[in-house]
Amino acid sequence: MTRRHWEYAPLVLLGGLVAADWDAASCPDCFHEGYEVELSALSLLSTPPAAVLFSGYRNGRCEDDLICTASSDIVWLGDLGKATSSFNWWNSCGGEREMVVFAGEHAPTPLHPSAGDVPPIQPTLADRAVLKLAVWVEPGPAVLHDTDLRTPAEAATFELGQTQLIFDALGAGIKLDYTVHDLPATIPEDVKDILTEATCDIAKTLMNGVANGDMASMQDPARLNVYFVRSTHYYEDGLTCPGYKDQKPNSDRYVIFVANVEHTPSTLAHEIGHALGLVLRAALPGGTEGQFGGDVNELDLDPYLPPDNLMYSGVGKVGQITVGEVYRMHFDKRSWLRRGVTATGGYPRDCQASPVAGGPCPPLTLHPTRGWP
Amino acid sequence: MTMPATKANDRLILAVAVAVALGLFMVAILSHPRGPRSVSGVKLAQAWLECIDCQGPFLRRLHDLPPASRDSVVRFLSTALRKGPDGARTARHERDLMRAWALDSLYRVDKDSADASQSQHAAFLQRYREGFHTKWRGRAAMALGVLRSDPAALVALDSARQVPDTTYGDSVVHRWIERALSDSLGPAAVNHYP
Repeated sequence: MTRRHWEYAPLVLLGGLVAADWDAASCPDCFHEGYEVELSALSLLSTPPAAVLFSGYRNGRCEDDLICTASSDIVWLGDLGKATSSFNWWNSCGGEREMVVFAGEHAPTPLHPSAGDVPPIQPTLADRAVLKLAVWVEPGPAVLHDTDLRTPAEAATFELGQTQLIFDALGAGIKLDYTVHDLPATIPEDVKDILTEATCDIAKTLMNGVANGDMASMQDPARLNVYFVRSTHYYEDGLTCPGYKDQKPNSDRYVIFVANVEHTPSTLAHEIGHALGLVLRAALPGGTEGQFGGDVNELDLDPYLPPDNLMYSGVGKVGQITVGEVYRMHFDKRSWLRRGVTATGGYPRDCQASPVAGGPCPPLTLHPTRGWP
Repeated sequence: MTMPATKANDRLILAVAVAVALGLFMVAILSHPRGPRSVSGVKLAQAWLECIDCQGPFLRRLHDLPPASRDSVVRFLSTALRKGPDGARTARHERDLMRAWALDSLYRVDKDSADASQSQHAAFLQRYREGFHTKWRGRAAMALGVLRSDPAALVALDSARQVPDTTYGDSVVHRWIERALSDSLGPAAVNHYP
């Protein structure tokens, strides 16, 4: 190298350092080498493809929230070992290791390779988690209105189908198991406004009424209850109660209202997202949680999510659920899917740390760099 | 022509200094957490109109806008109440609906369900179009109610109240205009938090 070339050496070095840092931050998806998870039982038609979220030794240090996507039926995680223990994930990252497989048509499946296990790991993936819904509609044979001649039950069934379709196509790992019921012809006085002015106060009155033995014909305590109503009091398309407070699925009974004057086929899917722990309570960097809280966070999160993400505040057609969101749906302590489920193996977790930087859970915005919509 | 050694050394030092400065700049850019975008009043109002389930905190943020940006927000909301979403937003919504319908059709094929008819397709589009238009106008009325200390907001609401209903959606919007004009809406809506 001539002296003239040496003059550019610092720039080249700097470029390399920046590139290395960028690589580490985005987790290069992942060379076909090293530790492997074999998913031969997975349908080749599975969409989205399998992806493994894991902690691993990379770039000279232990890193959480790495993610690699399958090539055919194998997910390569790269060389996770320190120099003397290559291929041994167990030795890789100290006490806080986590490895979770995400795949279409399966619930996220935590893996627990034993010390000394050598790859490939051949896990059995969990079936889709069953979300039991009780859906309530205005009693037929009423039609919705003059330009929508469906019965309320038909409209609800269509939106349930749209929701299942969204969850299937985007890898949520959830199967809806729903029953559709007519509300009573005469609504009890205490909740008489449920069809036209639905609020979380009405949801609470209803819950107390059912607990006291009244209104049993309006709620199924064993399921997540969804009410298709004409309108909500503050004109939301959808409303999930108890809202943005600190939900406790084992003591609260979550309720979703969906308004019949709808503007998007995705409303129910978005609201179910809230009921499954996507409540976005945490402050963003420089966020506004302290001042305004709740739904404003949803707006402030929008720059971090594509406009077709399930939880984008004005989402129309849903085209993405991030792996970070799927993780929360199944493992956040606020998720309705955790109701009645005994804590085990480090789950559930409190995922309301920064949705961008992560914490006990991967960042809400974490998503594979390829393969997933 | 050869370069004197001292001059070459100076250039090397300069290159190193530039590289270090550039490096510090890049590190600052890459490591600094991205904060939430600074949302203009009109953008905030537009997000309110689109949002699926935004409530009181959102309206409070609109309510607390500085007077300088209120004028443009009230103008934007007045147009939204009168005309509904603009052409670009309507077109985007239409694209979303077409994609949702296409996906639903594929799903039906996959599940061997009955194929949907043309009339069902037309009805699907019609109800979501009308719902979107109604929602946009109704939420504009609600936001104007929260901003009604501004005389222009009251004028916009009052003027929209005079227009007779011709559709089901109009009647829904009309109900919201009446609420927006009532004394109770503002504080209740702004403080509402589920």
